[in-house]
Amino acid sequence: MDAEGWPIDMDERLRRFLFPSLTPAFLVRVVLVALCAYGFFGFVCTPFVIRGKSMESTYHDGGFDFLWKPHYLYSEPKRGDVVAISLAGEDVVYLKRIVALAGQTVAFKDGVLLVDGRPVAEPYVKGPCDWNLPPRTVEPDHVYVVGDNRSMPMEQHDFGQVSLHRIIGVPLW
Amino acid sequence: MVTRKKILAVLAVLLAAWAVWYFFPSRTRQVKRQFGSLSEWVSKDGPEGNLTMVNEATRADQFFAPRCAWEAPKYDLNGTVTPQEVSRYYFAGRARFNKLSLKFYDLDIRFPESRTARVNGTVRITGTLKDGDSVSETHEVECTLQKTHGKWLFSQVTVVEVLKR
Repeated sequence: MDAEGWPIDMDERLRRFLFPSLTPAFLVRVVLVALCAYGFFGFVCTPFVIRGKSMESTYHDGGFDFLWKPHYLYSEPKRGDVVAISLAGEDVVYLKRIVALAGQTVAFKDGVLLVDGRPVAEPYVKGPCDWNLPPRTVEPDHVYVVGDNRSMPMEQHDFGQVSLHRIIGVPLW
Repeated sequence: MVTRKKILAVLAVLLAAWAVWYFFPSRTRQVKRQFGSLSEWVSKDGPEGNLTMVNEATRADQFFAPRCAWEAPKYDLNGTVTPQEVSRYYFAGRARFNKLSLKFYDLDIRFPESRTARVNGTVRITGTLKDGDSVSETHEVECTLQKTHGKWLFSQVTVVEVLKR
């Protein structure tokens, strides 16, 4: 409806949508939307690009995702979660899977993950793995993280226990 | 005419401000520039001749102090090296790569003393070896730089062990 109550045709609606009048109210709406988008995508749900193959075949090199940061506001990290781990800042982060929690022992024997001495089924691991790692206990306030790509040599793969305060969120999908 | 004079005056002020910003950088920008220069020095886009590599390798003393302490347990690299030793590592390491890229992120720069900078950052090294294999390494690093003869030189580099096996 226009100001006098007459119906507005579609062309006019489309024109107003695509070429809105630069009224103060419109500019306020634009600024609010921009601020909300900046806050949401800058601090709550940050877009990121995956570089590297340590999480193949779950996450592929060059893939795109969002980092959902509030995930652990009301819950604790648990085994099987894929988490983002901060380094010096948040521009570049590690993406790894939690395989053991504080107090548990972790080991690899002929490629099989052992937690507290028991083998763990890992359907997300594709390809052959021949890793061997003696048992070690995860320190308090730490979790043990490993990438899903176990077909690469163990020496070339960054994994191990990490402090909980470095976990900054989870990928959205 | 008055308007044109005003515009020229504003442009002159802006140009002067830019010149001061560019030619008299703050300490933080000087340190950031040194990291940028180090990235350029290490990175290469394709194969290069031995002569070029030798020439580049001799520039190590523009980046590293006469004695630079390294601590990188993952690579069994612990101890103090001279720029000459860095040059040798540079030459040997670089010769193995067709492409090499070194970039720094999240640089947090502090100055505990006027001629000392402590920097915490993330370094990412990617490249393609001559046999075609690709390399991708990401680490958190802590560096100390000392200002010597007007240049910020690396005197300590520590690779932080974020993931402890």
